[in-house]
Amino acid sequence: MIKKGKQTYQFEKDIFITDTYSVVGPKENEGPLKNYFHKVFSDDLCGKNSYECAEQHMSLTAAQEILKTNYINPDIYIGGDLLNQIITTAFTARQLNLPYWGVYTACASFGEAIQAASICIESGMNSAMISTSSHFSSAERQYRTPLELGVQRPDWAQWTVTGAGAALLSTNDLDSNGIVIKSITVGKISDYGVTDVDNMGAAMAPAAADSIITHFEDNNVDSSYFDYIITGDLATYGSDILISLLNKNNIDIKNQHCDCGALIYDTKAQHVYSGGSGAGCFATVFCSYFYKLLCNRKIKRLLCVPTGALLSTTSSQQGESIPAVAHAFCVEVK
Amino acid sequence: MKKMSKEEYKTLYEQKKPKAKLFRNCSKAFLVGGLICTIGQGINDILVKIAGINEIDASAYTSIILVFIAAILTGLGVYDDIGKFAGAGSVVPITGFANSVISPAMEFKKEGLVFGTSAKIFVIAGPVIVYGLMTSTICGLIYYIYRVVIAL
Amino acid sequence: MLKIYLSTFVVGGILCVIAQILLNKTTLKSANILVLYIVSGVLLSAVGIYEKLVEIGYSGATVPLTGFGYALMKGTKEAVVTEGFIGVFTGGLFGTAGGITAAIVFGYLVALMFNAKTKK
Repeated sequence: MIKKGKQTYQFEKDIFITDTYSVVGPKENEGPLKNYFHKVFSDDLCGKNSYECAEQHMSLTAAQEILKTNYINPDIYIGGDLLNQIITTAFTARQLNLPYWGVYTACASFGEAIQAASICIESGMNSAMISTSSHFSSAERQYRTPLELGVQRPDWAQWTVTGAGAALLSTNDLDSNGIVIKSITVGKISDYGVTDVDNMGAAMAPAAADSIITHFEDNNVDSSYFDYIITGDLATYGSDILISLLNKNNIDIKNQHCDCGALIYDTKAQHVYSGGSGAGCFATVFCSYFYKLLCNRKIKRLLCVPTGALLSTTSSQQGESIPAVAHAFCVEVK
Repeated sequence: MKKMSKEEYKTLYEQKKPKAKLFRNCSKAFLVGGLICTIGQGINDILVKIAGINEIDASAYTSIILVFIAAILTGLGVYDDIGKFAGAGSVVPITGFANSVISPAMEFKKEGLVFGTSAKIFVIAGPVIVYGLMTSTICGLIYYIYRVVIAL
Repeated sequence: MLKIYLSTFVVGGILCVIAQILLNKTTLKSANILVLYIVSGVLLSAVGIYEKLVEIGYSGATVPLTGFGYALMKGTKEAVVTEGFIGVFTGGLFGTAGGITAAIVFGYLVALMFNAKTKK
């Protein structure tokens, strides 16, 4: 592993993303990416007793499907979710019988998991499985308000994605897709004093800007190097802020940027405010749409910058602002 | 990233916020709020004029009936749709208070009827009761002292 | 009669519009606004102003949460007159007992019978 610049690490081994699997709920199946998801649950309770159990079921389904089709026992399972004590992932790991690390950086958890897994493989492990998940109803009851409460949220708010995404990393290119993780940029916390819990986009945009600028400087590249630069869940409003922040730093990513939260839903037709968010947002969109684009050679170089807002259920009530982080990774087709 | 003060950043993101559709939101709040109050008046009139109940009891019964209606609508999953549409028009009337008691009761059933439903039932509406009683008790005390002083 | 219903509709509607403006134009959330409304209802009733609004607006003034504050204060005042000092503590809940008890009882029963469903 070679350190480049301040926060970027380039891998000397080929770390292949050999397979992915995405599971979503009914609302995501009504969005523009509906034909890309591997499995859709039409009932977001998945026939379980609670939304927490439903989320575990989705997370487990994604993980088990990948293991089933690849006849592989990964050396480690690394995962995360939004619930307290990342309980969804712990209960998923309980069923998988694999060595387990839990990670938490809210909606950037998929990025953190990819980074940790890549370093594991660079250091000697043969394979790793990662997954992250979120569920609208389990997140709502933990972070916001009861489901049946009549509440009107502002237009810059976001809708937590119900879904899970899993990916298999290996030193062997099992499906001969030739898709490798080239480098990672470990994010630093950005906190610009946003206190409104409905304004995740504004809280997270500076973190995304910081990681993108650092990756460009560390690797000595610019936006034209990439086919796409994808953020996790800035949604439409946060994306707007990100483009402005980067313009102020003389960087223009308008032609390459898209955001998973803005892609997963039709923000005009579906009632989702400014778009999707959640640990499952980046995971489901990357593991379906973007992975397919890479497999079909429609794109060759992708900079992934999932972002996470690191507030707790009580921090904002204590007057704290919302810190955010963005963990970036660069994926290329060999 | 170039240094930017928190105030500068606030100006940037406030400027980019989607404009709230204030007139549309207020119209919807006005219509739904006015309608709920009118239904309350109708219930009150039926109780007084047809059932012959006295004004004071009728007022209490009207509150209870409106709470009951809100309970059914919340249970059926309809009140949150009304709330999405009407905003303050569904929050301000007593039906909104009822919804804020009933929705956590339903929500936290998963954690059991003692530690879930019963413990969390006032998680949203608690402040209303606390501040209401605090204020009325202090004002009541002032009123009592005023009466004592007048009597002297 | 129509005049009564029209006044009810308008007064109730206006009280909701004020809250909507606060919701959209300030950083106040629903919970803050409800606390503001009930405290305002109590204070305006304490000084005798809210009674005038009830005369004009009928249920348009009693159904909103300010009306709940009015019921609290009215109960307290009446209890102070009839019971003396103890009324300071007992009157408020006495005036609003119906609404609060109904909310708790119906809330529990509805929770028994129905499950919360995902928002659309």
